Amino acid sequence: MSATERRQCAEIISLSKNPQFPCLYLEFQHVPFLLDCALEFLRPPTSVHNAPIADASVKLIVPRVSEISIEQVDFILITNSYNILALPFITEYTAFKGRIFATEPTVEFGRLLMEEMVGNLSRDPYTGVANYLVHFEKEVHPLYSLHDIESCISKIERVHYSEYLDLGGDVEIVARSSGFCLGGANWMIKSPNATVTYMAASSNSRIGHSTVIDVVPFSKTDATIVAQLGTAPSRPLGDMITNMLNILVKTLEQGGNVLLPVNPCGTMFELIAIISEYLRSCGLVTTPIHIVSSIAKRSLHLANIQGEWMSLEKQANLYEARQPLIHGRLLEDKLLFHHDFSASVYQYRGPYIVFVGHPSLQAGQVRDFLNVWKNDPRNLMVVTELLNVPPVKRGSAEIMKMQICKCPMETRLDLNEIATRTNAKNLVIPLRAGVTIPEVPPTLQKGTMFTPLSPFQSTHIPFDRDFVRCSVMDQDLKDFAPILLEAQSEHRSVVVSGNLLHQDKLTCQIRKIIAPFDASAGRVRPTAEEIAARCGGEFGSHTIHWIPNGYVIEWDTLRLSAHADDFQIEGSDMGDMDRLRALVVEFVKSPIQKT
Amino acid sequence: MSEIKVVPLGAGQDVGRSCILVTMGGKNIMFDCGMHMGYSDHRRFPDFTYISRSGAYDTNIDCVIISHFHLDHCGALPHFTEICGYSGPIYMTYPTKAICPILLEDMRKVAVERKGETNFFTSDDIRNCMKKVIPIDLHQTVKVDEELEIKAYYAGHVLGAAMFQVKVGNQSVVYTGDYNMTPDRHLGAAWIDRCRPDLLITETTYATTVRGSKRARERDFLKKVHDCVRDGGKVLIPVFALGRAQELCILIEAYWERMDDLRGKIPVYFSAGLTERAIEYYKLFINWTNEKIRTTFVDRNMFDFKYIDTFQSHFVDEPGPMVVFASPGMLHAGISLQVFKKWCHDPKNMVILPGYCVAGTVGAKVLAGEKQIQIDAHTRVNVNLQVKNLSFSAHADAKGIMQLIKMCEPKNVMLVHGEKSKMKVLKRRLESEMGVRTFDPANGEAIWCGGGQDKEKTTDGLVSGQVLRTSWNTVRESLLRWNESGEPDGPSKAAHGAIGNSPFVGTVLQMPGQPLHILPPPKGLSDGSHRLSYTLKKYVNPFGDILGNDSSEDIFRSASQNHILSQLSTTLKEYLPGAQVQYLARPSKPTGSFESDVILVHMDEDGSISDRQVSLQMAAEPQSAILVGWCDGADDVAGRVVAVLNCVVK
Repeated sequence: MSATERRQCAEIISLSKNPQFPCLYLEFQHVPFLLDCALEFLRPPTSVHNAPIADASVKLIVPRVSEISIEQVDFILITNSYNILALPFITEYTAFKGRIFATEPTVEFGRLLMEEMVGNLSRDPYTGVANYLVHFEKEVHPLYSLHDIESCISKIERVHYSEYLDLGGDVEIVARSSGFCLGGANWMIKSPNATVTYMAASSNSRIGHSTVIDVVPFSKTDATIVAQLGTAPSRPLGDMITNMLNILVKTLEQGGNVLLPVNPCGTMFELIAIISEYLRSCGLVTTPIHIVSSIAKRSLHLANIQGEWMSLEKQANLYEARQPLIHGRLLEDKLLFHHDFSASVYQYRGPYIVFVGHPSLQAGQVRDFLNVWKNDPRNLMVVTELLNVPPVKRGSAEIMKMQICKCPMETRLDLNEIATRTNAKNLVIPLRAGVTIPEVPPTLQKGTMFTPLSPFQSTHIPFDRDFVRCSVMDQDLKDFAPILLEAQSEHRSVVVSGNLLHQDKLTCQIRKIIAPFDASAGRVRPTAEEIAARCGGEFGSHTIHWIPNGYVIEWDTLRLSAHADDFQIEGSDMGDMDRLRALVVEFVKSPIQKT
Repeated sequence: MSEIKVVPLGAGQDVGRSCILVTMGGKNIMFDCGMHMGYSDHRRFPDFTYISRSGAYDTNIDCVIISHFHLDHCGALPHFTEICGYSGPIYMTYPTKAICPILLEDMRKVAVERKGETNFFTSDDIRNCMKKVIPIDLHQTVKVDEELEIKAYYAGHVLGAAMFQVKVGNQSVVYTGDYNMTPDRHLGAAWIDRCRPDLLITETTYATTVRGSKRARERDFLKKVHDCVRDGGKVLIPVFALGRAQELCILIEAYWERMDDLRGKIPVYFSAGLTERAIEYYKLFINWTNEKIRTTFVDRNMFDFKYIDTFQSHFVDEPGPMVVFASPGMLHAGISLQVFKKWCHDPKNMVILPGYCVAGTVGAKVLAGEKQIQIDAHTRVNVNLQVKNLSFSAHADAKGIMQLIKMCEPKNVMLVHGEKSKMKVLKRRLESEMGVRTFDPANGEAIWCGGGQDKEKTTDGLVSGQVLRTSWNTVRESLLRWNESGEPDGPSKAAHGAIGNSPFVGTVLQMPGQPLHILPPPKGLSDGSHRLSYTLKKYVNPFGDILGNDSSEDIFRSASQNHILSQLSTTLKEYLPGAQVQYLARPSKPTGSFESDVILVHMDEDGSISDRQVSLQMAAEPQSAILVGWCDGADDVAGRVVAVLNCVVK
């Protein structure tokens, strides 16, 4: 494709097989971006009830960046802390040398989740070997190290919401709140010709503690790419939470323990608040909550210094010199404890409420608790996470007797909700590998094209406009202001000529006004026949070729190409060239009128 | 483009009651709304009648921006909103919004309850005022309305202090508030990008000071404290509850931990009240402190002090050495003044004034060396204690101010928040050393800048891609014949240089509220200026002509043609000493298709790349031919180049 055509479109390729773990390539007006860099967690296809606990066949899959030239990618944009986990593979193990942007909480929680991953997965306490396989560029690769994480994190530039960043080449980006988690962002990529929006996990739910969703990305765009869509819940989330809380309290009253396999951030903060409040309202004022994770302490503290990224309701606490999230006070009141290792939980009295990872049950210290608690039907497991959900099936309780309560904290907008809200000209939805192409959502706005995108396939979004930003010298404009004004009052266009200076940026110098344009006053150009005739046989015999908007006259050793007002003389003898030039100049200066 | 008008209502050739009005592009912005510590009459607040005599503040002010929580920057805000009745938007950073009501309330108490003033704003006024404040984050662009944008930058003066950039259309103004260009123990240094504002309004507290190393100052401070308590004296350090206080506490805490004769033996107190709550804010807004504190806060919070206890008023009469931090910093009221009254008679004692003291305050009188000071209507004291002044305020010094100017490259500078005489010196210095136009108006005096006198001023425009490509192609095809092979990535960097100045023809379209559009010209239009360009094909015998006795092996390497060209470039340089001969190597391509390097020859004295330039490259067919290309106007250069060619190619 030529440069001319490429200037006016965006190309999008999905680089992951599952849009819940997004990674997309976007070429926007020549500027190559990578959107998110999630690490797909592929668990074995067995049910948790009969799976051996120390199953080692978990696979981690790095986005397939071999589909593109990663060294050419200029910018990586990250939406939330879950979608950053494959980034060290890109920054430390490929030739990528561009810039990376993310919000402060995304970077900080991303760092913690990476460290948690290293802690959980790189060494397996049950088998003693590093047997979690990372699939990266068609090879099996070990997981990154803490050193890799540090190095990767240091390369990320931290941005705030509504911070406009000029990336050069007329391209500007801005992060907008996605409402999903602390620092969760939707990105807008803009030029004078088009806007492309990239959204991942977005939420307008009342349940949550982060800044509310910014609706600007739903406004008119040329393309809106949406990954990490929610699924419409079967029951309202509020009802499910109420139900879960009832079961939870009943479990505690009967002396059972409650296990919540979670990531040690995000919705966990919300669950702590909901559960602690409910316990208090039920009179269980002294029942503590335990969190087991090597990063729990940092995660809890970190959340409470991110007040600027929270909802107005939580921010109100800030102004009263209170920690914005309730868990700060629970820690002080000894109603919440964090543990690096599972064993120290038992120093406290039961029954226990324990938050512990990994949510898939396939790794991490959650297995310590499962081993002990799974055979007692009084115990309860509450499944809340959206990604890496353990495959819980009913009716197979022979091995695992523990009760299971499903309460997915689904606050994300689903496809229909997105389609209702967006005014995009193209709605691009990356698909999961192997699924049939979904039907057009019934709520899609008129004028929106639905574009499902299969993994590793590319789609082109053409832009309607084709402009390049420039600055015009005010001095020039002032000189021509009266003519411009007059012409505009008469609805005539003003045609100008001048120079385009391309230094740091494009500057347009207006040198001359070719008068308000009057279509009948076009000039006449010398025709091919006229020139050939004038030359006589001076340069030998000639042939004339016609090209669009011009012609070429060829003599033995001389060639004249005329294209609009440009004449080009080619030859091997300076003298002949000079003579031909004199002839052409004569024509140009006093064009012969056609009779 | 209209001019920018600026009027300081406060802080013009003065420190205190900062309040600066900026009018640009039809918008009126108020930067800070402070009070003066040196007065207790109407001069305490800025003269708001300047804005409107009828109290129509909402129609005359589009927004108020508060830079940080110090009272000389926000102290008049409740007065302006609740008593004068301004109800438009007010912006400040999150920490400022959190902390400034505490300081306002504290000041109100001192004024109303201690001094018995009436006609002062109430606690409810403060609360209602703060409800109107819109918090903003660093670097976030906030659109006040369609045309007016503001953006905050880190200022490093106190927690949450920010510099603000305000933009209307193409014009912008940066107001620094108070800032500090050197990172300290708890805050980072001020930073701004190269935003090239039309006007930079900067504080000049230390306009003529160039401070020595921070370490030396810290050592000096600690030594003075240590010497005094060793001799059995009491040290009073008046501070503002928030800001320097935390810095000095961190310093003292670390010193006490190191020193056996101090640790656990000499008590250090901090006057409570504000402080405990203040420390809570430091913990909540840890992201606004410096990197070190941010990264260690989980395990050890720097603001949990081991050796510093809460001050209680009876401690003041206890015997033995001690160190007391007490607010306020200028000794004009409150606990610091009470302690001062009790201790000032004894020459063993010491007062260390680390901050800047506004004229008229007790602090300023003490610094001036007055031996008898009238503290209030009933009290006159003899000052015998040792008085030390240490410049610990987090303000930029002369070097820092110039550093900031270099960072943001303003077209004009205005000085505020400093002493008149020092401003004059700095103004002269900025104008002579940095060549930047500088203003230092007094309160109520207007300045204008950024108007038509700026020749470099530009308007935003959009050029149609078609116009641009046509323009480039004109140059590219005729001058360089560069892109014959349809290079997909567009012109390379070298080509960009060569086509850095290309003629265009286009239709101008101007619509209100939109950038100027330059669209393609109407079809069939001729601007009457025909362009002529030439390509001369010269056949060469590479062995005989150019390469001489070079080994033939070199010739048959893949880039043999370019080898010929590079030899030719050397020859041209030799024969045409007055010419600029530029050799542009093409990036190698894996496709196998041949692309020639290019030699550019031009003879303009200023070395600029212009139309008067001749290009040489190898022809694609036959491979032994050289193409010489030029445009009208470069005939003389072309003539000489061809002459050289004729000379070496027999």
